[in-house]
Amino acid sequence: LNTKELISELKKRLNHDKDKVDVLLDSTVKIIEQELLNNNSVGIQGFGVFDVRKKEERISVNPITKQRMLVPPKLTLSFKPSTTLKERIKKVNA
Amino acid sequence: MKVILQDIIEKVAEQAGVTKKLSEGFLQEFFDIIIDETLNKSGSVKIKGLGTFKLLSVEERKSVNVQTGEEIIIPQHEKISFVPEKDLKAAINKPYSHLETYILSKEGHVDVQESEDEDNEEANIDEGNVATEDNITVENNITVEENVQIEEREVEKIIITENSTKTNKDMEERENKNRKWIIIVILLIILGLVAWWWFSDSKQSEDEGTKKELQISPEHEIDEEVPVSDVIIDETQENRSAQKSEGEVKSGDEGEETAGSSTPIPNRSPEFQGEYMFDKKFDFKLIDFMQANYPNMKLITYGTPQKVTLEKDKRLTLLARDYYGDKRFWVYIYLYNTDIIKHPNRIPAGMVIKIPKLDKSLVDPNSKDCLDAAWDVQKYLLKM
Repeated sequence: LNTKELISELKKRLNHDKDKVDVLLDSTVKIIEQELLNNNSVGIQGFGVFDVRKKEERISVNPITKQRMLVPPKLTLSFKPSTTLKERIKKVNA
Repeated sequence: MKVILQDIIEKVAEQAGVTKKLSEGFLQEFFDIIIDETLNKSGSVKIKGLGTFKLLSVEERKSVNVQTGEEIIIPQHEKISFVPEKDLKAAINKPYSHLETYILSKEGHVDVQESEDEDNEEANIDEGNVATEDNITVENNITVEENVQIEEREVEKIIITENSTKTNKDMEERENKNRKWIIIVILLIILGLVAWWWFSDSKQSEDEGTKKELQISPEHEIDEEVPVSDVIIDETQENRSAQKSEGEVKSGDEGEETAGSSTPIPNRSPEFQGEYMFDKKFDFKLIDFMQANYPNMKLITYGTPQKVTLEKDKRLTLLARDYYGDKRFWVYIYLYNTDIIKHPNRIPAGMVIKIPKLDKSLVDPNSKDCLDAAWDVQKYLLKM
């Protein structure tokens, strides 16, 4: 499912016109991004938490050449599904 | 801070110019669709500007129960994965985007040998190397120094790549012989670089430091006496730089070296009259401790401290690595700035930090004693 299909699906479910769904989707994504850039974690009940985490710098070794490299620290975005979502995944499988 | 769905609903309503009810309904459907699509149709959901949600299957694997040590089997199961979009990833990592992975010296024992050599005051083989390099740096101007450094780096790179590409077994015998030589050469180069870097960096930073001081801050925060001598210092500095351009540096610099004490302090020159005890910043217990355990270390600073504006997400440890060569020396930056830093882990961005020029006997990244001392000071600070 890509963005186009997502928009048409939303349109169908909500009975809105395309422009409105476009605007809503756009601002939703932008706001989530903005919150994350402000170092806030975004928690959606029943869905999960988006969180910015810091990975510390580390030394990694190339096993073949034995070359040691210093990998700098970085900030990454992580998503943790909520327990309800995890339960649902389990149910689907069972 | 944590933001919940309710906040997002409000903000979306505001930005899209719709009622809260409408945006609430939209967001609920939005996340419902993501869940439905990823779960039921076992597809992925790609949202432009955010990323892709996908259901992945995890294969069955063996594991160990941490409490009982019993072997258990984790059955095959599904998990949801989220891969952020490239642009979002880059935007989030922006504070650290300037950092790059860099290659450390290949041999693990290099550091140890290096520090041993340093302890011997670089007496043996490397004497010639260091000496000639120092001459070069003294006699020529900075551009030449940079060239030297770049060339040496290139040589180093070539050696490393050569080393790693030779993997054939036929070559092994020769390689073993070569390797010894290569290790020695690498060691020499690294030693030379360290010496050069330390020498020139402290000089440069000092230049910048004094200049900044005069331009930006009329109010001085260090010592009552220093500002007066500072002006004089800067005049002499200008004179000196004028001399440099005329090519009369040699005599001046040699004079410094002979005038300096037995320990090699490269930037010990007539300019450093504003020398005062660093231990003003220590409390008495810490001074006693340092004197008892590390009597060789001089708790003094030279000249005026360099001022650095702390960027976002830059920490004292990073500053220490940049200025002293090892992050463990952050304690001294902290101690020097206790008047403005309340807590070392919570420093607001944009704060102007003073970086003191410390004696090499205190902040030598190659000396185990110095690192131990810094470590002890840190332990002490943590106890406070």
